[in-house]
Amino acid sequence: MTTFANILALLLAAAALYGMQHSTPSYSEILSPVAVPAAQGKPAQTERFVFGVAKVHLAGQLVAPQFGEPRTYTTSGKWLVVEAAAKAQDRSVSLTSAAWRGPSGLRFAMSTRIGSTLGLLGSERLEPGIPRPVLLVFELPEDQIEGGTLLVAETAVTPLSEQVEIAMDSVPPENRYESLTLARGGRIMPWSLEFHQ
Amino acid sequence: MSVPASSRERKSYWISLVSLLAAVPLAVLVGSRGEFAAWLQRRMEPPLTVEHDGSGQGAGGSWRLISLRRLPGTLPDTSLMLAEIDLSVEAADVLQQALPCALSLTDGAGRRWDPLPLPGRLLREADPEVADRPQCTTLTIGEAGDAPLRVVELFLVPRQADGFTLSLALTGSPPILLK
Repeated sequence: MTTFANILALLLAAAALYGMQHSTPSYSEILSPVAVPAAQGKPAQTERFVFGVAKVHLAGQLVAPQFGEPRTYTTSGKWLVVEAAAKAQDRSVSLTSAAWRGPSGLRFAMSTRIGSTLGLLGSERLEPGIPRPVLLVFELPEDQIEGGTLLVAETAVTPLSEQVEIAMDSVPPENRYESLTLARGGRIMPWSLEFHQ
Repeated sequence: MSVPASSRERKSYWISLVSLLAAVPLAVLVGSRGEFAAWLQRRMEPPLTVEHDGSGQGAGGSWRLISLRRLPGTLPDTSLMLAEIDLSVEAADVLQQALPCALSLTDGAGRRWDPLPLPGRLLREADPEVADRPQCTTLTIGEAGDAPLRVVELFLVPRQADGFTLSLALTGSPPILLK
């Protein structure tokens, strides 16, 4: 009877260890931000900031100022331009991490080709009680746009910080263009958009 | 076939388990070479509150809020809050260890604003006389004589925010709340 109990205990221990081994998150999962799922059209609330998407545009080429002169940026994919607004909750924060997760799981960082001005996410700190418009620009393969998710966080490297994950709707036909021109705006709205069908 | 443990073995087992509960925190305490105890002591120290027109001693200096002025904001429905603080150096070596300082502004609702980074242009527009004064991040005490040093910071807040308190943080010292 005791031998049987010992064997049973051994089997239970092996099963428990097997279960723990397969349910333990990987090191990268432990260090990854805490996901805050959200839908487009509604403000996503985290403990430290609020983020909402206003409009999404898709274009084959992008014209943006460089050294005061407009410059055309072509791509073999598409330019996805997201107009959004963000606000700090109860203390000043900077949002420095934005990525697009395609339907296949591929992640694309925000494009750095057009510089860091024009109200791009990360160019301005957010203050409590003062909502600010923010712009996000991605250069994406066409098959990674439909069904994508927008990921926004204070930083991508701080463990247990919150990351907004917005399931994005498909871009409506009226927001798809041949070319999109991005120009400097004023102090309130840091950019303006001009479309060419 | 299992043999029941003797009462002496059971006693040793429980003594070892209880000793472990004491030994682990003790190991942390000893292994940190006093750092843990010092950190705990700092955490338990209450912030030093300085009422209007008073000055507070901390980190080798005496800190005094000279003014907290509301100016027109750079965005609609916002204000700029210009804080001016005087620092009299009392123990330069202690103060040197505690710098850089960090100033933040809290309103009556508990919202907290950090100072604007690189406020040079806005300071010149707001008050040219304070434009050349240092901020917490650029403050050095090498320039200090007998006269107090003037530190200025600029905050962007919503226009309706009020009931402000300035919080001054210095390394190794409890925060100083300036009202």
